[in-house]
Amino acid sequence: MDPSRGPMMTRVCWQLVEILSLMLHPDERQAVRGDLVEFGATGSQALRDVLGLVVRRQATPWTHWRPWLTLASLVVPLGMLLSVVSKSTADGSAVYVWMYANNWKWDDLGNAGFWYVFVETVFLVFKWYLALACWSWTSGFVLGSISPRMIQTNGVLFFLMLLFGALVAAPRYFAYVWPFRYGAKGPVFSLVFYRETFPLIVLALLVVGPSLWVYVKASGRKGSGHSSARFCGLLEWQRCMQW
Amino acid sequence: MIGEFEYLILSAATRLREDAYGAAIRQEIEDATRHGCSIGALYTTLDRLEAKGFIKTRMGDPTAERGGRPKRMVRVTAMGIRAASDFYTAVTRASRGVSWIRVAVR
Repeated sequence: MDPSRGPMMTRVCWQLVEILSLMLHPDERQAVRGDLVEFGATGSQALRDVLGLVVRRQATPWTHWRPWLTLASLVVPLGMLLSVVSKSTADGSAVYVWMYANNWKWDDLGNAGFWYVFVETVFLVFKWYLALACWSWTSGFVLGSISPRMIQTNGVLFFLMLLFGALVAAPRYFAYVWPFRYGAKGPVFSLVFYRETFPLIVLALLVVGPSLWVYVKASGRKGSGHSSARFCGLLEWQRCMQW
Repeated sequence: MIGEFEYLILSAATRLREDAYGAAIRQEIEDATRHGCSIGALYTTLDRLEAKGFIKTRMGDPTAERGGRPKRMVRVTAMGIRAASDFYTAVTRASRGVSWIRVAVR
């Protein structure tokens, strides 16, 4: 059977089978695809079979306590904290970005005072961004190293948590603990870009980017460095406590 | 004690001997039970049986009829044969004196 031929629906099903089977171990993927071909399975049958296997594979580890512990002690706290810190960093730096991007005057370039404040501001914002990126990198490394069997599930849950944190939890958290934080910065946050879009850009570039990059790297390593992951985990918790 | 699906797999793999692999075992089970057998159930149970030491699996050579993909070959171990035998004995013993046809008619 050649999955690339046949009706449109069949081709779509086989393409979905191809994508879904990427979640299986390479050896198992080959064996299962071979079995489906030999069995003469239709696109929908193949899709149902592979989906069933993937769901079982992902669900099996949840019958033990370890994934729940990882979820409760790392995935949820790190996802929430990173999204809250990211929002805080984005809002803090948005004022400076607005100050220079929306109020740029070429005449200021000749002013020595402008350069003094500009360099100081760039250094300050860079320090915040670097700290956030490093924290995200460490979080991605810890999660990617911790459980090879749960790589995909933990990854998806972590990024869903980041998304939930950025869109729902962080705005509500700041609205509750600091209701008038935008008061003095009204001109900045009256703009939709700085209020809604800029935090998402910061989250994508400084949290999702570094953590996803190292997550994939760490998960691909044979016998991932558990000792370094534990060390990084302790650092993470120390930072969480400090924050 | 193994479960009934584990017993079906062990029986099929024992019957198939050198030709025991995923698709063939699935076909045997479907023929025997006259019910569908999902690949998900089959492969996760194969893993469980292997973890218990009842079977050993290895990747076979790729074949053209499978689009150049290898088979997951299955071999039942002595422990697996003993477990299947115990299950069969238990079911036979439990069924002693019971006629399902008579019970169904009554």
